[in-house]
Amino acid sequence: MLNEIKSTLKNKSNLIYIIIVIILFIILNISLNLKTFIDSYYNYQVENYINEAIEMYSINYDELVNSFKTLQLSDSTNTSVEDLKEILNGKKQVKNIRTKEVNYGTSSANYIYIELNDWKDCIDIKQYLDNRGIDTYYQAEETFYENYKNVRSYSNIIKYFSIIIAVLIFIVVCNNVIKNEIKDIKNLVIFGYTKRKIKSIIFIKLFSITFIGFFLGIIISQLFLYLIADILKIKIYRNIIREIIINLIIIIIPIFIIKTRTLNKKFFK
Amino acid sequence: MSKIEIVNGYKEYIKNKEKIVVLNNINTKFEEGKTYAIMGNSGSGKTTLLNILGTLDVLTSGKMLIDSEEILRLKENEKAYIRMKKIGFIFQEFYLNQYMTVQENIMQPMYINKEYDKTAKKQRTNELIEMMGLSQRKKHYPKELSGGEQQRVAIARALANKPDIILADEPTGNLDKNNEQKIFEILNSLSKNGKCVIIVSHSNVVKKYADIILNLEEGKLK
Ligand SMILES: Nc1ncnc2c1ncn2[C@@H]1O[C@H](COP(=O)(O)OP(=O)(O)OP(=O)(O)O)[C@@H](O)[C@H]1O
Ligand SMILES: [Mg+2]
Repeated sequence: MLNEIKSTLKNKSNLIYIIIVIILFIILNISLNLKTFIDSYYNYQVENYINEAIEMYSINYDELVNSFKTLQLSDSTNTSVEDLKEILNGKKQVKNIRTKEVNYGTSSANYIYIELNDWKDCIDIKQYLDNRGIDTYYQAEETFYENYKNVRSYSNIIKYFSIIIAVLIFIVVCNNVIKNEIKDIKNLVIFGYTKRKIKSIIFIKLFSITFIGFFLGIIISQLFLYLIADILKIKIYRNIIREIIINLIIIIIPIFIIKTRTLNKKFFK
Repeated sequence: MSKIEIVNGYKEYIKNKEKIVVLNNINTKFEEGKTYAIMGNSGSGKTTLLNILGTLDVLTSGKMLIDSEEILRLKENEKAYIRMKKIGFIFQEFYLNQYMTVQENIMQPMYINKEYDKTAKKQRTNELIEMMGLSQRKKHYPKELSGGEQQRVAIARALANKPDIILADEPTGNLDKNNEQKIFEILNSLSKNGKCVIIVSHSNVVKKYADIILNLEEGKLK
């Protein structure tokens, strides 16, 4: 097995494929982290907005920050606090549900507020309640949330798009690597290697090429992201484990496709 | 007892709805200790016949037996085992792995042979390198060798698992006269040591080294 890996890596024409894989993984890992950049940018905007508001109207800082994190049930909804607690049971984003009674001379009204851990959570929880027929509105400027929602969905599109592109390019890369070695694989058939053995050799050959790219891609993209974060003065919350799993899946799919395709070829008939 | 036997061997290809009959009910036996030369025009089906003998291809109808064992009935894995144990292939283009040394190339078929442990593999490799006069070339890569040397590496590799049958498809097609003679001599000496050697060749030189000459013409062996 070691010999097979060695012979694949010694093949200089495979070098270009290793480089392609590295570049692809860097781009991919950055696009997987696009959301953190966007989040950081909007957090920054929120902070700016709050600071400006404080200067202009001398409002309490905590109150203003809280208003960004709060949803209010609309008057037309006649859901009780108990019902709401039931519905939101198990939602980690929810920090607190509180009510506030306001007196208007003779009559009084009871308002229900949902306090969340982060202002971004408002979007998801609002959607969640919307789906259950409970109408809510934002305490802070609505356009702000809507903008963020749009940008976030674009970043998701970019993310999935780059995953699909990566898989397609890897299929081409794996296909070419095997094309280069098809004679050597035919030889294995001639020597009397079983199909299973050949399968594992093809797998290990393709994996050794993509693994180098995967490994370097993770490291280089990490450095790159740190650099960008440092320049933009933002924090990047990187879920390395999740990224590695996504990267591995992206490698494995093309390998399996090409492996199966190669073995289905009739070599001598 | 014959090593390989074909009974009523019939082989056709169907391409674009047109039928090409390559082997038309041939009956033949190949024995150990003999060198066979198979000659015939281009496209007469020599490679097809050799692939069938080597269990890489199958007859459309008829029987083929290796050591009295019916090949058509065997599963893929069982055929692979027969190829590993009993058959060594040699080709015109050598088909060496360009990124493995002479030593590594020769050792490649031995990795699936459970009879060889690590030292036995090394020993067998050295033995073959010695036998083919390649001692100075052990650590070289194929592209650093002459055509004749490359073909000797390929022969050594074909002999790795001590097969009884050697199948050579135009083994000297890419070689000059000197090397051609040398390769035929080696192949002939293998049959002297009890192997069944079957050589497909266009070259008339092969006649000098063959015990039996067969002509493949219009699907018949004569
Ligand atoms: N996979 C295939 N599908 C269809 N026809 C084939 C296939 N392989 C070979 N043939 C046909 O079978 C015939 C015999 O081919 P084969 O390669 O055995 O000839 P050959 O005697 O080895 O020729 P050469 O001396 O040129 O190597 C040819 O007419 C060829 O076109
Ligand atoms: Mg041929």
